[in-house]
Amino acid sequence: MNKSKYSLVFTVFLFILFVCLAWQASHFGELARFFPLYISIGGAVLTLAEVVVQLRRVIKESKDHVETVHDSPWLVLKYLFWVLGYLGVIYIVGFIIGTAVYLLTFLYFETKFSIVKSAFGAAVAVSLLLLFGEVMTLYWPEGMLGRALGW
Amino acid sequence: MLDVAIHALTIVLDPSRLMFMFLGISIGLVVGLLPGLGGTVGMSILLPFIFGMDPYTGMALLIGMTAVVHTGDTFPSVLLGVPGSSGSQATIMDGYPLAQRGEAARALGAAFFSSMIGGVIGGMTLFAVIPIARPVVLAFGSPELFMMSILGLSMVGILAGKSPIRGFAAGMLGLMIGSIGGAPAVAEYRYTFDIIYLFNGIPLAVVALGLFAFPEMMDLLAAGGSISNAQKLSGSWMQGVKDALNNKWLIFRSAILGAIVGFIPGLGGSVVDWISYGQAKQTCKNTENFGKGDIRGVIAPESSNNAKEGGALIPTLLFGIPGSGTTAILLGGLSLMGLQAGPRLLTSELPLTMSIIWTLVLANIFGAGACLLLSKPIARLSTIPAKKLVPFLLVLLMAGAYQSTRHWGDFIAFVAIGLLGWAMKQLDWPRPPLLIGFVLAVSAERYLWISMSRYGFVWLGRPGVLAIGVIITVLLLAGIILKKSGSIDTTGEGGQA
Repeated sequence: MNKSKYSLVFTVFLFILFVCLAWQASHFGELARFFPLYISIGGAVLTLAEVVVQLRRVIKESKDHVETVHDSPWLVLKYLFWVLGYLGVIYIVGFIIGTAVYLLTFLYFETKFSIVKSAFGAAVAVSLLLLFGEVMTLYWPEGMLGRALGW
Repeated sequence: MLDVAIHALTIVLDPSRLMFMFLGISIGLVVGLLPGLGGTVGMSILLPFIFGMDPYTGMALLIGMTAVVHTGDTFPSVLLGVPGSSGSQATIMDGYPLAQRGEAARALGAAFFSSMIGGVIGGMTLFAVIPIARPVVLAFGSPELFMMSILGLSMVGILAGKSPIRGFAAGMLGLMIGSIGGAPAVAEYRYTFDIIYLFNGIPLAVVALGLFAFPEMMDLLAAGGSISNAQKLSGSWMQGVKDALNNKWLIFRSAILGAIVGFIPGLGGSVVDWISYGQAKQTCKNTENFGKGDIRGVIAPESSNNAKEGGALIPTLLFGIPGSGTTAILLGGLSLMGLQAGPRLLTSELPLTMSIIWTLVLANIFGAGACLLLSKPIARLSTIPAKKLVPFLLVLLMAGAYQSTRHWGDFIAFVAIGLLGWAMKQLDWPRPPLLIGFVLAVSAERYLWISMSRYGFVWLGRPGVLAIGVIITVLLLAGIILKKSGSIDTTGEGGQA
């Protein structure tokens, strides 16, 4: 799909979102309602106008002049999975160990560092996190395993 | 008053107090450098240590830290396109494109010099305003504060680029995201869907990091290469300083604007950089490169966000009205040292107030000097290949996002808003209006509600309201006229970060 069509889909999504938010706002109490209701109605009107503009653009667009959204969308998807994987590891083993695991695997498989360099990079990052955490009294999520084992 | 000022300077220059000021400066720079952490975190760290200190030393530590947060936060904004704190969001607009062109050192040089001058002007404003502050602060009621929010929102139109409909729709989406959580007018929660995390709304740091940093990280990894597209770093910090000197009037008026916005309690400092950026884009000539790497787009927000700190201290110290989380903790610090904010700081405790002003001025000078010296080596960050840099940055961003509320929701909101930001970036929707809408949502609703319930429609005729209304109209009209005459970017790129 080309950029104009993606843009149209995104605008329609925003229009539906504003309509849903306006519907939800209409169920709030009187004093809580006025601001989100009027703003969401305004947003719905604007996105509807943008849908019309987009539709005209899609219809007018010549087939030999198609603009694509991204040069490598699959690569973006791959790195998104890396982020989600990082979150998953944090959820299981906690932030500090999860960060060590994530950095070690990313640096080894994606950056193509040697195992020693990857381990060194992960160790330095985790040490800095621990240091800043101690000095600035920062908190990290524990993780499912940490809670279960009482780490 | 002058003899008290000189006496206060001798107190501040005492070696032991200078040492604490330098400690505060170092912590402030590190806090600014780390995305997601702001002055409030820095204050929280230092507060336990000031218990039992004499007020001059305690203030040297606290003010030294808070004065330079907005100097250190320029590094991530320029080099990574990630806002270091809420006051440096607008710096990304032109700072990051400059770094991509290999001119990071120039952008940093201009930013630090402007920050220094802005901070000094902020301190001088605090000094000058002390005798006349009371009637000015008291003149700002809820109607005027609501109009100031509208002034901030009017920047949406300026930053919308070639598609005003998209700009305003994005601004409204920001207002809607900002209305998640407790309603200001009544004890009712909105759009929370019984999720505890949403009861207090989504934190600003999470929204800013998700909207700007996440899409940049994804695209950098996918594209390979490094942040700087240029093979070699060109430009030096000296060139940036020269650029700043060439735009001295822009620095001056942005700093004055910053100090004014800062001293209005309740408006919050998160919007001062956008207002300053908007006025620079409206009032400068040949603005076609704004948003693409115009050095004036760095100078304006950087001078105003440091000047804001001086302005913010006026209501905090003189009336005990904190304008932000940082100043609220500062008030707590004063109490810990056995002092109370209020008129006494202008009479029996005047030397302490003067020492605060001196610390503010000196910390800005020393902080900017340290950053200038570090700018060249740190600018090399922008030449590191993305696959080596981004995994570490992602850890930093996750750590920063989590500190907002220390809830798992911070991670989820960061990724969700990051995906929204990525889609907006790819599909040419301007992101700054969304952030401005988000920042101003609560204050706009709160002050409108108070104004309506207190004054009905009569507030529309108040002199302050009319004056701010005229400023908004002039700014918007000037934008339309300049756009028609071709002086302002109409390509829409200016609206992109």
